Amino acid sequence: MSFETIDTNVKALWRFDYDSNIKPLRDLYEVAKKEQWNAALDIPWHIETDPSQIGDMSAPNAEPYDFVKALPKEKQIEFAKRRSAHLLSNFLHGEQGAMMICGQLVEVVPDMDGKLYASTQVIDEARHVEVFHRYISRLDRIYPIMPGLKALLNAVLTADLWQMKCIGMQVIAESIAMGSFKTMLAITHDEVFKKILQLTSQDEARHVSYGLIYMKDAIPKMNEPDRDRLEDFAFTAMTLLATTPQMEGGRSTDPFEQIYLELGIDPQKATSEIISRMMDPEAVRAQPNPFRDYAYPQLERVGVITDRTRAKYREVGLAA
Amino acid sequence: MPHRFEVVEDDCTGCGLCSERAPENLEIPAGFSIAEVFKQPETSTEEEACLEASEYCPAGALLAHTKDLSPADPAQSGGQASFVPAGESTPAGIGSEDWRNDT
Repeated sequence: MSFETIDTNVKALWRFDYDSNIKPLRDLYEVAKKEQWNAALDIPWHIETDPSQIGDMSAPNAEPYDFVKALPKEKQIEFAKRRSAHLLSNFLHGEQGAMMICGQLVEVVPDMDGKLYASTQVIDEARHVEVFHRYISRLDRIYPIMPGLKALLNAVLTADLWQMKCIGMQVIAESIAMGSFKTMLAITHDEVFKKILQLTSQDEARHVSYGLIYMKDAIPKMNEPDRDRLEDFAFTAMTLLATTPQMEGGRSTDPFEQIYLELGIDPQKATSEIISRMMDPEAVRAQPNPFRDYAYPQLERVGVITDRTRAKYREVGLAA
Repeated sequence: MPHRFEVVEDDCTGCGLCSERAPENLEIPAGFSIAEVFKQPETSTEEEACLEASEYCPAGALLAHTKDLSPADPAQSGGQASFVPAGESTPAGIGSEDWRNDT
């Protein structure tokens, strides 16, 4: 049995007036009820996954890495399969985190419409946990959660303001998931994976909308100190996920080292080629970047990026 | 009708809120992840629903083109219709108090 615990301090809020008070959120709740799907029945699980159709998620919009091209064809396919399992393992962990955070949102948000909608998202996230777990088991094994993702999810789980939970999960994490799923959908040719991505993306779109609607309403009503704290929290959340180095036992590690070693790839050669591509501004521009392209514009849209914080995003390359 | 509606595909998240509000005019076609105006409004009821959908759109992706019958009206002058970003320049947009019932 593998588990960890974290202390959270959530102040549950009762509402005793049950009428709708935020109409777009009530409408979104109606949409959510209509768009429910069943992970066991609505994915074509009867179709077997051909590993050669999964696609290499390591270099979207770019030439495969030389260290990948140098592998025999069957090992290239094996690399793509394991790389996908690694990536999806982190989405799986992220979906579990989202399920717990949405459970908190049901308790902490101050409006009945906000609570009703958040309750639908709990079951959305449960479904996502179910589909990603089932699909990963076709590919490989479940890989550990990456430190940056874990740090973000724990920061949101322990945040004291409900607006921080909403910004961290609904606006940042959900936007990044939407952007990443769009990229993966363009790469893969596996029908099962495509269907999973289509249905989960449809749910993620509602999740982002919830954050945008609610935060556009709530942020202007916050007092200045809390608003400053929210702005700083948003920046920290983005940098935790985008830039936290991979640490294990106090030393920095490449998250794919285990995969390289198992497939006979020289980890140093692979890491050095990946870093060199990350340092090339042309290559960086060509790569889809869900932080810059999806999360940052939404943070701007809800007004959580201000003159006080905008430059910090530019400094770390997270501004659109 | 004085307005025409357009979805900005790059901004639409495909959440379905607009088609919930204006089902006679807007939809997310099966297999697609962005909304589509499948019919411009033909009655004032439909137009009101589309305007409300535009105001609700959390991503500002449903534009209401104003045909204001001024010289800028493309039908009269060959000029361009003006674009009203959803929910941002309309007084009842998200962030205003109009759609919130409590205090």
